[in-house]
Amino acid sequence: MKNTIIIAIALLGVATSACAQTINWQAFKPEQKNSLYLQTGWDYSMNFGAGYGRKFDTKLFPVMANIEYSFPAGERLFDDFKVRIGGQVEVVRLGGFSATAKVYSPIRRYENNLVTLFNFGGEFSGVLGFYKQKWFVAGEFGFDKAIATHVKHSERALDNYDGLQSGWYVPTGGNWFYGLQTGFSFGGNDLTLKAGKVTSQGWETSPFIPYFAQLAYQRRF
Amino acid sequence: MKAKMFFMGLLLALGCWVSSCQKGELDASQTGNLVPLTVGQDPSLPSISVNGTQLHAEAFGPADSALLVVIHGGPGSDYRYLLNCKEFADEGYRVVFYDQRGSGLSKRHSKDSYSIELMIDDLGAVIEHYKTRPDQKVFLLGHSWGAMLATDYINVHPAHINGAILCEPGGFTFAQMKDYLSRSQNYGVFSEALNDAVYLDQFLTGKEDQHEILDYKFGLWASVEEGEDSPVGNEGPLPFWRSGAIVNKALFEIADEQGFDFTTNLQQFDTKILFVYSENNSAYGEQHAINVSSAYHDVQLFRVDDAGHDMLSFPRGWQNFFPVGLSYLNDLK
Repeated sequence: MKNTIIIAIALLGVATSACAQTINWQAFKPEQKNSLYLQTGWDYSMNFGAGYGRKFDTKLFPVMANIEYSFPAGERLFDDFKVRIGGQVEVVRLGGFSATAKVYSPIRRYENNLVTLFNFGGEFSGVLGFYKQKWFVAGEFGFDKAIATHVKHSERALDNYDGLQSGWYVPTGGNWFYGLQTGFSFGGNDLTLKAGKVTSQGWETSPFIPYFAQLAYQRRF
Repeated sequence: MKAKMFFMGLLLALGCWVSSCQKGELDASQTGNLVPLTVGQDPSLPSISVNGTQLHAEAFGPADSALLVVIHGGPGSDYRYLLNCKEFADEGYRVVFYDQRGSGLSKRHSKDSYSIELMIDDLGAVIEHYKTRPDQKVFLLGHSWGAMLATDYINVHPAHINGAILCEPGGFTFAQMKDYLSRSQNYGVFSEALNDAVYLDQFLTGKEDQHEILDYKFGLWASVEEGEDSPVGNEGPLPFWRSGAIVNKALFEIADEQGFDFTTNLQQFDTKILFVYSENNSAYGEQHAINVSSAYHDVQLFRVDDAGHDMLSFPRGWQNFFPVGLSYLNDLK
C-alpha cells in the first residue's frame, strides 16, 4: 500500500524538469543513502545549481527525494531562481534496463524592469535506459507545467498600460521536453550529461532557445 | 515510511498552494488583462479600415498639405514611440501614424496570412486613405523595420513617393539585415539581458492563436533592449502599446525562408533621401550606414549625435534630428 501511494503520487503528481537530478540507480551501494550534486548547463538560460538527494529503499522500489536550487547567469544573480522539490522512483528494473518516474515541483522567480513573476509549477517525466554500475545511457520525456504564476507589474509597465492586471494567473502554460542522458560512475562519484529539446505545450511554439543541456557532478555517501 | 510522509507532505503543500492561488485567479488569455484592447475590441480607438483590415491610425495637420507617413519598426512595434513626429504637423505637414497590421492596437491576423507584399499593400492603402488630391506630395519617415518597409514600397512604387527619411534600417537585403542583427542582438551567454529574454520561457507559453499571452511575452522580451547590455544605445525605455508577436514571427520566418532584396529597382528613384543613423548604437555605425544607403541614387547621410537606435524618441536625439529632417522635407515640399 505504501508503495502504491508513492507511485500514485509520482504518476498523478505535478511532476520533473529537464534538468533535475540524473541518477544511475545501479551505482548506488546499499550503504549510500545521500547525494550532493552540482550542476550547470542550459535550462531555459545558462544556469548553475546545487542539490541534495536522500535515498529511501522501500519494499518494491528505491525512491530518491530531492531538493535543489538553481539560478541563471547575469549581473543580478538573485533576482531569478528556481527551487525544485520532489523525487523519483525506479518503477521497473529488468536486467540492465530500468524505468524511472520523476516528480518535481519547481518554485521559480523572474524579474525584469517590467514585471516580477513568481511561479509554482509541476514537472513530470519518465526515464528509460540501460544501466550498468559504471555507466548508463537513457532517454527522457517529460512535461513542465506552469500551474500558477503571480504577476506583479512595475510602475514602468503600468506607465505603458495602466490596465495591466497584477495577481495570480492560472495556468500560464507549459513545455514538453525530451532528450538523452548518459553518465560515468567512479568510486562514490558520478559525472552525468544530458541534452535535449524543449517545445511549448501546444507543439506550435517553442522557447527562444529550444534546447537544454546539463553537466552534473554527484557525490554519493 | 519516511518517503511516504515526504511525498504526502509535498502533495498537501502543493494542494494548499494551488487552492490559495485559485482564489481570484486571472486568465492570461482574457482580453485587456495583459495587453491593451485593439481597434476591433475597443471602438473608441481611432482607426481606418483599409485593404481588408482595421488599422489603428491617426493624422495631424492640415489635410490638404504634404503627407508625411510615419512607419514604425519591429516588425510588431507600434507608433507610440514615434509620436515626437507630430511636431512636423506644426510645420504644415499632414502627419499620418498607423500601427501596421497585427501590430500595436491594430487588428490581429493569423500567422499564415502575413506577407511582405501585404505590408506594402497596407502602406499603399494608408496613403490612398489620407490623400485628398492626386498631386498631393507624399513623404515617408521610416524607423528601423519601418525604414526597410518604406524602401520596399519605394522599390515597388518609385513614382508614388516624393522623398523619404530612413532611420537605421537593419538592411535592404537579407544579408545586410543578418549582418546588423548579429551585432545588435549579440548578448553574451552570461549576460543579464539574455537571461531576462530567455528565462521567461518557463513561466509563460502560448499557442499561436493565444495572441494576448504571446504579445505580452514579446513585450517583455523586447524590453531587453532597455538594458545596459544592449548595444543599441538608447537613453531609456521606450513607450509602447502592444508588441505584435505573431506578425514579428511571421515576417522573420518569411525572411529566413525566402530572403529579400528591396533594392532591385531603387535606381529608378532619383530623389534624394535622408538617411539617419545614431552615434550611440554601436551595432550600426557609419560604415553600415554607407553600405545600406548606397542602394539609393542620391543620399544625404546624417548622424544623430548623443542618441541611440531610437533617436526619434528621446529628447536629445529628437532635438538633434528635427531641424535636419524639417530642412530636408522643406527642400522637397
